[in-house]
Amino acid sequence: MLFPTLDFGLFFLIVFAIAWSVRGSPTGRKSVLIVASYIFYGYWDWRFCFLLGFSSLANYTAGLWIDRLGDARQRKLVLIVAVVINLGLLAYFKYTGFFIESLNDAAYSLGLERELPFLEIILPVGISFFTFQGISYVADVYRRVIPASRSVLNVLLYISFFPQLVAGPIVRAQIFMPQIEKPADPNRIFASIGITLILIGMFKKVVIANYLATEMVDNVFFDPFFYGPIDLLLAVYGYAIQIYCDFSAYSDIAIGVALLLGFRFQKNFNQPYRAQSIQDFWRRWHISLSSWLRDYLYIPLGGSRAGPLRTRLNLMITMLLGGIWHGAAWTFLFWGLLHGLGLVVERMLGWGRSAARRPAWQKVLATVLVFHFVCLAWIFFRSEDFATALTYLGGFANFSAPVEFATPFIIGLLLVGLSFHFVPHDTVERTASVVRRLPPVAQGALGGLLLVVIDALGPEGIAPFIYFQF
Amino acid sequence: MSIDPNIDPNIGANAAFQRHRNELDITVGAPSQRLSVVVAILISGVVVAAVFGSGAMRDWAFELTLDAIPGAELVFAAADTWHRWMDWLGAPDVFDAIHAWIERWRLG
Repeated sequence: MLFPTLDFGLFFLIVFAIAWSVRGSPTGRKSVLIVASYIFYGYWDWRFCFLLGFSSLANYTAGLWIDRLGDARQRKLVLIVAVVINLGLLAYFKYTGFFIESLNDAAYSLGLERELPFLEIILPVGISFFTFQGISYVADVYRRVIPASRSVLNVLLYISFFPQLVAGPIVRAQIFMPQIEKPADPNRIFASIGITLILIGMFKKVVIANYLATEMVDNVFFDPFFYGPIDLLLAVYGYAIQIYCDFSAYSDIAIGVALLLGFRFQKNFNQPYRAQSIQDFWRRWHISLSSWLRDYLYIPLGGSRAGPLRTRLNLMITMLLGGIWHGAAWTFLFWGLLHGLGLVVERMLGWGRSAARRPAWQKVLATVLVFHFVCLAWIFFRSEDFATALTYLGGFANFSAPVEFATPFIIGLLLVGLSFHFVPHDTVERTASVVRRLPPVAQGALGGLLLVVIDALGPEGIAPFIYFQF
Repeated sequence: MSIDPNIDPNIGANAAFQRHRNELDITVGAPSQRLSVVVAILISGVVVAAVFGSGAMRDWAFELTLDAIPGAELVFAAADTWHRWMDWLGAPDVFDAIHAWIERWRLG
């Protein structure tokens, strides 16, 4: 069930009505939201509801177990078992095919004829996201940041809550759990902000991301050989804007839907393309993943406390694993490697720390440089394989190809997509405050009309969100 | 479940998360609404979206088709002009010409 569809609209209205009608009973509300979340997930493939349930129950049991144990070594052992179960599921569903293919390639290059059988395993939607939520829950219980939940419903809902289930944001238990336990407050719903976020998200996805994908990006990345430098440059800018408008749209809609149901999630994007360093970029892009990697991988590895060499190694490990988290392909690993190298070089040169003290022209230059570095890395992220990425890069010297995509329409889309980064950072809040002054019926009518206009402006059909494949 | 007050959340790896926690909360200082207001907003939004978004609903609501609106020809002519303009905006000819000129200049 995709967010910008009539199916989801009807589903949400029914869930909204039932969940608020049982607001007096926390157990009833949790049960309604769990059932709704499993229906939402089962809409893709009902068989994976069992996987979701198993993951939730395994983390619930591990949490209780860790909480009851007094001995530090035993607690650590249970944590390790829980992490292995979570990562084992992820590895099986997401990486088995990749490992077999890589082993076969390696065997072939060594002259070995025998091939491992290819396994066709369907990737359950959202497995990377709910696995990371599960790990963060048991790790936080282990660190005594949160107590283990006695109620299985809390953990079931935390792992499966439908707005963030399939493409994030990766919500922390310490943010979500206290909200489940409290009765929903019908006098405190952040509806204006929620609806504004949903409409902005719909516009970003339905109009900008969809047009850029169908009109230019998909064509160029399918076979970059036929395109010249201007089209290749526009297409990589286009992909940078497309992936931002696609993924941040999902987060916006997820946060908005959660707000209407009485739950607060944290921001997942903060104008990433105005970053002045790679470190700054990662504080603004997919914040819930980057902060997860920082808190559950980089810092446990030792972070920056064990000397410069170890810090660089920790950064590289974190970014490489962050890369492979996105997908089972060498291109994602290389994308992570590029960002890791970027962070290491930046740290060696001290660029990140001096950003605030730079003169204005240096800040602008830094933003332009970081954007182009990020775009370079996107080429590997988006390309089907290394050969395609290298063809893409080689195409920048192909001056004989005619220009196809340098049209006012495409450039207009790019500028509109980029403009989200250079408006005041609290634009959503300000817009919501202005809209809120209107009478409720006028607010709704305006929202309904904008929804129709957005639908009419977009191309036919809705492509799945990019992050569904991760 | 509530956070145990005896547990210091500012420990180890959690400290960085706690430092930025409020910065990332979009609802800090934001106005909230009552459920009855939210229901009114949603109902009016659904009605407007259904009426304008669905051809059948629109015809039923107004008991007429778009063809029957006075001055419909003007509306359709304006729509045609709009689409032609969009086609022109999407056409690469102008930029191909500029590119060809640059190429001629580059190659002498």
